[in-house]
Amino acid sequence: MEVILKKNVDNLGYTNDVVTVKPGYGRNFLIPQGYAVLATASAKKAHEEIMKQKSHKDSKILAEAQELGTKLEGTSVKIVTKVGEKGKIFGSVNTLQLSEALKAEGIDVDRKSLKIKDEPIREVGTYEATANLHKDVKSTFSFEVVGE
Amino acid sequence: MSRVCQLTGKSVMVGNNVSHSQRKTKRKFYPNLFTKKFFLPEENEYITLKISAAALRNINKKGISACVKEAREKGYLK
Repeated sequence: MEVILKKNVDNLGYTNDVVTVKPGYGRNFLIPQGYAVLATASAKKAHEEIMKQKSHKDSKILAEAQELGTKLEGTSVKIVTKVGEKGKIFGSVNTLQLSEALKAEGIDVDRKSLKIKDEPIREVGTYEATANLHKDVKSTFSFEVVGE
Repeated sequence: MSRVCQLTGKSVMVGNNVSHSQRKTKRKFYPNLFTKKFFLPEENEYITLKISAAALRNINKKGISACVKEAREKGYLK
């Protein structure tokens, strides 16, 4: 069945995408949870109208995302954590710490858009993360985890 | 009433078993029914319906609320 997404769904699509999914996935999960609405003829027409009105705004948002992306790639972030002997971290480092460290650098990124490649991080070292800033903008950057 | 689809009104049909000698005995043809819970986005709640497989296909195409409305107009569903 065809649905119009209302939120970003991992491995499926972004807000306002029209996607084809298995009927049960749409009926039992996407629609009840508010991730999507059914793409009926009238819903599609309304959706097209919205997209038309949004299109000129989109270019601005895209430019902003690209700017943020290049800024991200240029920065070197350091996350300071408590470590035991042999560089093992107490607890772990995840996207929460990463987003806070980025904020300290003056880059405001939604935590949900961040993905760390080798999560969970339990040892000090250099790691890679991807920020999903926009439908067409993904920026990969590396950051360092160091002990106190 | 049991064995009636709440959305399409499909119900039990009566027919004959016909043997090679053309001897006829009564039999029933049952609709392919099952009970299923559906989410109504407009009212933000679930309804449980006894529906046929054909009605489920309709729901996938038109959406549950459109199907329920249609069934109410036709009097299959209260």
